[in-house]
Amino acid sequence: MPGTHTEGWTRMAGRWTALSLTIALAVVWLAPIAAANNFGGTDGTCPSQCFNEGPHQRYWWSSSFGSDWQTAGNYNRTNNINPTDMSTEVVSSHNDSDVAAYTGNYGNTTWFARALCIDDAGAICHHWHAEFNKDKGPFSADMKKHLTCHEFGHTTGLDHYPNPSRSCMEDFEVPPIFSDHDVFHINDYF
Amino acid sequence: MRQSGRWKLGSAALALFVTVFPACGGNEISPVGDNAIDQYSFKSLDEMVATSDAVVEGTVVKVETGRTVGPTEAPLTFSQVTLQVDAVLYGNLRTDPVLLEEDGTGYSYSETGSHGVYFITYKGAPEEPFYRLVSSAGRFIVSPSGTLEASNDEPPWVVEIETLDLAALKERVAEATLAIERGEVKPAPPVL
Repeated sequence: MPGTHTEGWTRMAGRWTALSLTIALAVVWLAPIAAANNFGGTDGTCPSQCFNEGPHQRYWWSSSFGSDWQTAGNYNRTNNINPTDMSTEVVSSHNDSDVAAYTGNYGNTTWFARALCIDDAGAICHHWHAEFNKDKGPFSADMKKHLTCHEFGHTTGLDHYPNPSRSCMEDFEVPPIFSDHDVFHINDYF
Repeated sequence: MRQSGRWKLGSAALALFVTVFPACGGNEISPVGDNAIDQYSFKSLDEMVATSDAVVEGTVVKVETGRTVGPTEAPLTFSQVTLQVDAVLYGNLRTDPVLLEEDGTGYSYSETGSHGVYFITYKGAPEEPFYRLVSSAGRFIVSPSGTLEASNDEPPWVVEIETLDLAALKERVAEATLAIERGEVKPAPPVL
């Protein structure tokens, strides 16, 4: 009987050790991914960085956002956002949208394009404006894909990714894609 | 009589509202946001100097609401900053004082009285007789404790600059100027 008791304790200790090791490995494996760039905001950082309100995004193309820009925007909805745990659609009314896209003559700015949270609450953005500065162009079809990939990425909650990566959130030498890292963040949150 | 009294009270309330909240009827400076693609992604201070039209040490003497541009539904209203130039550290100026347009994209707006080093470029179009920061990281303000605060500390090299004081930053700009004159540093290309 004492022998059986000891074996039981040994087995339990072994299981605890294995469980602890698994948890430790998971923490070590996941921590760099989670810490490498921010995804979305926490109270106090929105409207600079915010999460989309829920996993479904409704896009609205303004009259200034012409057919070539819409092609680029739809490319990114279809190839980058829809394959994640988020989904998107294009709506016909500004009032029904989460993201409204515009091109405009903003003059000689420091930026090509930007995503502004117009209506925020806590860490959530209820409504975004994605603005593309025509005066910094002309932009090729590939550039438009990059610009929409980057700004629409911000509207999901993605931040810039300062480390070398194959992602439109930082690197414009590569195709306009989200990296696995970006997709991990989106799927982890939504 | 009672109705007339109500009208008077209403008019007085409206007048008070318009007096206290003058901005409600007009343009307001656009909100600050971090989500943008900057024209340049500098890898060093030297690159930022080489890409600027001028680098100046200056003091903000006035901040006012500037021009509004862009589509009506998504306008951009600039903050117009008057910068009194204390020293030109690199390049040449077209105007003194410098009129700087800021749009808060990737950086916060300048405040009256702040003093620091500004990396600027002339906008150039006839309707834009203004300077702008060469990038969202193009401003280093001297904090009350004497350290430098960058307008955008996202680029890794900016963090190192923030450990310097004003005199050391001016030395670094002077060194960059010599490197540019020797042809060792070139202006950065746009990211797109």
